[in-house]
Amino acid sequence: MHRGSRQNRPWRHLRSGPILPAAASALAITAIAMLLGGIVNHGMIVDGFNGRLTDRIRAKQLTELKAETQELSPGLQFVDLISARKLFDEKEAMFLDSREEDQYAAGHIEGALSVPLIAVLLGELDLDKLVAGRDAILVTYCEGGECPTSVDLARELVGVGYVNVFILGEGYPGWKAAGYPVESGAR
Amino acid sequence: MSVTILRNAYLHLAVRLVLGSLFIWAGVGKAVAPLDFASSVYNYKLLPEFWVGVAAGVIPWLELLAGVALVTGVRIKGAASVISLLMLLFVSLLLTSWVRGLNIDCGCFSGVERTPGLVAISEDAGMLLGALFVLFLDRRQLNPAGLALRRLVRIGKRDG
Repeated sequence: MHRGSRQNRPWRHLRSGPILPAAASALAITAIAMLLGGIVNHGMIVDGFNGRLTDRIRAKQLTELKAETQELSPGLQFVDLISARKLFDEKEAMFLDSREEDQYAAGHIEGALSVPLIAVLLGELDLDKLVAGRDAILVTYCEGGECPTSVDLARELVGVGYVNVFILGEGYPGWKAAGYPVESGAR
Repeated sequence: MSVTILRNAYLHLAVRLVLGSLFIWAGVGKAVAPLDFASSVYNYKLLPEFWVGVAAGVIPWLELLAGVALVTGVRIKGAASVISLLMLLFVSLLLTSWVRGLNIDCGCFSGVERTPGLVAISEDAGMLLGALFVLFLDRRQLNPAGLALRRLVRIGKRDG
């Protein structure tokens, strides 16, 4: 009687079938991976918990972007946040936002112009009308090290004869994180 | 005819070895450069910072262990389940990123630059199919690595 009722339990098929052993093995593999990954990468996980991981990632991406730029276009120059702020305060430079228009509208460096790279490449934007003098100081930026459009825009500008073109590698996220002036809205 | 091919033990073994090797390659590439992988995870802009660290820390080991399990023939159904779930997650992630128009490196394999798009989605869908094949059709008739391991254990017991 007792044995019979045990055989009628609904999860009997699960225990004898392939699903439960596969699930148990999958859980075991996941647990070992969590243990090994947690031990080996505990520094990175702790940084993520403390809010320092994004800074590490952005710094790494910026280093890679600079190295790649130096390799492909050695003539292009980067400007750091403090120097960019100095140019901004002295109103010496024009800031050009190479991101998509919706990103620009969501937030950009105060006074910056929206110059989406794609619009420049398609000839939809006339750079001569936008920036008159070839010797004007131009600072291009996008989303930081993860995005190469500021470099590509700078390359385009240098290509058509602008001589004072700088790239703000930290981009809008770096500028905003530094507490520098920002604004939102379409151009 | 086609059903016979699907039941072929050599095909089962081949799928297991190819899939396992791919996952060992993917896992090792990410495990040796965790910050590179964290950078790829961060670029999707879907996870909060803490989970970026956890995902980048654990997923490479999950891939590596699942790959080793498939190649050695140990816990292959569990490994195939893990890979199926991972691939479902990755395919959904790539699809949404493709729709969002993200122009980032997908972080699929170390040293292979690929943006979320049809190629990356097809690759992951192929691996999902392979994992489902192992999960539902593989009868573990051929398991040379497991056999060698068992022989080694037997020899060790006999000699020691």
